[in-house]
Amino acid sequence: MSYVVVIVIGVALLFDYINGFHDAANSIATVVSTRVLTPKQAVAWAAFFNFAAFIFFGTKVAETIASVTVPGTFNNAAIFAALIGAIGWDLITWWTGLPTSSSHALVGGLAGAAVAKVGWSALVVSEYQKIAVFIVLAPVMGFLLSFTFMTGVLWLFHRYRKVDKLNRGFRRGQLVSAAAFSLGHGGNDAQKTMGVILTVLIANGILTKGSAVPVWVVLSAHLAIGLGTLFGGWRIVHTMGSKITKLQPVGGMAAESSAAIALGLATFGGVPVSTTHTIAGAIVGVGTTNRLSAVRWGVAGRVMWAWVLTIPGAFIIAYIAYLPFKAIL
Amino acid sequence: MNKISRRTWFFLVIVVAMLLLYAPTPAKFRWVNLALAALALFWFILFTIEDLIRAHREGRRMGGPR
Repeated sequence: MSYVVVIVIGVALLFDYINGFHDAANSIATVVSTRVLTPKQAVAWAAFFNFAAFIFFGTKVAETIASVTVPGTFNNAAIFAALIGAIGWDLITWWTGLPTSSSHALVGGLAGAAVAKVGWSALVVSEYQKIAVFIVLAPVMGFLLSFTFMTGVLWLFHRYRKVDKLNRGFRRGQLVSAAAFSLGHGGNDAQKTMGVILTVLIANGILTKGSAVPVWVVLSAHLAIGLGTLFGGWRIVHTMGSKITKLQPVGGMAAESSAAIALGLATFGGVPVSTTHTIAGAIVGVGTTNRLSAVRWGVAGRVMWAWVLTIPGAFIIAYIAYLPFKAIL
Repeated sequence: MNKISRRTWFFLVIVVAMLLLYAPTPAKFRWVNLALAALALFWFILFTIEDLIRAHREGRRMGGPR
């Protein structure tokens, strides 16, 4: 393995680390905002389950990521530019406190670098179509499941008078739901990096197309995302945990469980979805059980704009990042 | 029309959106659109009934004995 390959894999793992860092908020925002765990405890809890996700999920999402462009599109420079696009966009949105999707940043980055290198014909339209449709489906799934879950819980317990006891139960439940969501996050997001590393290994002839993801790739991707979560940023926690709608333990539990189910289904189906979009949709679902105006639509709208801009934003950064390589190579 | 709340209409919007996305969704995943549309339709029907009953009760209260 040449030192260039090692560097590109290192940058891919850096992206994974930043993904955990950036998306830590999604896993822990609701547990922190409902004060079930302290921020430090929540981060450690989420990081552990991010890492443990490799036991539960396969590598279908990684295979999808590795097939978003036609074979032979990528070389090391293009993958490097794609990662620069994704990391650049992640850092910009992390700095501005916007909960955007690292996954879509990666997809946008891959597309930008591929188009800069080969042209539009490099993109596999059907794969991008699948990803684009799930940009809408994933948050809607989170929304509807959490709304249904929350309404069911409220309906079941509305006559229960021991509110303290009930809250204690939901706080414990939230530990389980946060763990499930972190598993889903680790499962779907770490696989995206595995997909990138797989592409690097195939592009350099170390693996052949259609090869299974090596175990060291699986473990290192999960380790990187777990470490990123452990040192996660706090700017987005505020937006996700309290700005969209105010959450109680029962709401946090409903949002996380529903988002975990949506992520799990997507991961088993091999669809790279956004954990950010899914949990944001689920949080809005919980807010809507109260009334539609309980959701701060201004904040939700700002978040949606950031979603819309993610793929084009990362695309442009990656495209520009590849231009110097194009001039040299 | 204003007897029905914004929240109820919101669920109908989801039903329509899921059905509009049916065609571009890959065949393997179309069941997701249908399941979500069905769930949203369920809530739309339930909330429509609730809204209409509430509006009917309020109407009776306003026009009741003085």
